[in-house]
Amino acid sequence: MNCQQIEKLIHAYHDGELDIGATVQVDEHLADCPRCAALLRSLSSLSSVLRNEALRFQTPSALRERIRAATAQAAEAESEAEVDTVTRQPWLRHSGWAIAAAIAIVGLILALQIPRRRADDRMIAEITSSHVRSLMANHLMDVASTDQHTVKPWFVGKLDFAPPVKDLRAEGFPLVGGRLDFVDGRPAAALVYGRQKHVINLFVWPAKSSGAAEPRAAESNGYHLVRWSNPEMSFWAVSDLNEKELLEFVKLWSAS
Amino acid sequence: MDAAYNLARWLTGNDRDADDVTQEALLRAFRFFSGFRGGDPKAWLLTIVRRSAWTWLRRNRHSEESVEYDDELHGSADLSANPENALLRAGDIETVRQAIELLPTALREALVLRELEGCSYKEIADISGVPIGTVMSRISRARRQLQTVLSAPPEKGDAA
Repeated sequence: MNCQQIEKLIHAYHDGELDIGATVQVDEHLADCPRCAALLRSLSSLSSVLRNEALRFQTPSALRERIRAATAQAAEAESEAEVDTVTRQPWLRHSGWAIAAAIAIVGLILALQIPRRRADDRMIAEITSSHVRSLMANHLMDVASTDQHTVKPWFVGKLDFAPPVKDLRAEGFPLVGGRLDFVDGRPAAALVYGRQKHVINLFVWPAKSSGAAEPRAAESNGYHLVRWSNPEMSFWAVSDLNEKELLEFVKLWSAS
Repeated sequence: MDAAYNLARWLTGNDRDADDVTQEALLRAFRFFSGFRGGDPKAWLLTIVRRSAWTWLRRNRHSEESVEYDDELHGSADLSANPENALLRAGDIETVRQAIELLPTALREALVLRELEGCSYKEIADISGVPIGTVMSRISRARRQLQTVLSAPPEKGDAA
């Protein structure tokens, strides 16, 4: 395949929409062509920008209420109408079907939006408690070392993946150690960093989906959290540090 | 409902009309629930939202869509040289939002469904009622235009 053909296919390739045969051909081309590889990288960075939650419009709560009320009303009207006319929809004949349908629709609507948010809240709570626990129980570190070449091998055999370990001493965030933790139902690596008197716990575990996600900040009980992911790993950083410095840490960490 | 509202808002371009379109679409979805023959409920709902939004667009503005974005006219940035620079201005989320709003509606629809809602090409084809090939070309055109706008220096951005 030449570059022109690749340019046609690269979007579908980036979206995982090509069949195996074409995927392999694009793979081969990308390995040898820095220009097309750069094009693919530009698509990835565009997608990660677009995946920013801030670009999604949130449903105004007034509208939410209005629709809920309107569907309930329509359900009522419909079940009354059924008494007079034997409807053209034979299966709607039974009274209560309309209400069931309304409930199903509302349920569907809720089901589409709630799980993600709930999962987010749960993770924020879980990560924050892990962080607090690590400080409270005096169990911050299983391996205390400022040397990444001591910390990284320590995880070998204790986890089913090799977490990336970096020291940011020069940038003012020295690595102080590592520990095993358990997050989101699976073992995770916790890397511990210092910032003056503050402690940063960085949780690392293999990503569930293969996309990258830009850092997003959250707050819980006065702690700040930043999550992000690359195609291999999911990361959550948590600290009592202010949000700005924590984001700086994340930026330095993912850039180094 | 968030997916429905998000799509309606991106297609109509303002809050009030997005409200109306979403409400109308959801009531219609409710009324024609018997028309739902299985499959992905989200895609089904978005199909109805999309139809309502386009009906609204046709009723309210007939002329605006005539100006299609022209690659030749605006030139396309050489993104291969430095892909990171290509998103120089993307750090500002408002800039990105405006760049998406500049897209022709059909391209914006495909892009929002793909990038913001995570729909597959097949789902987008079903929702928009066009062949998958068209979806593919709309998405690539939308991305190219976004990259061009976002990599242009700010003062030129308004011209697109």
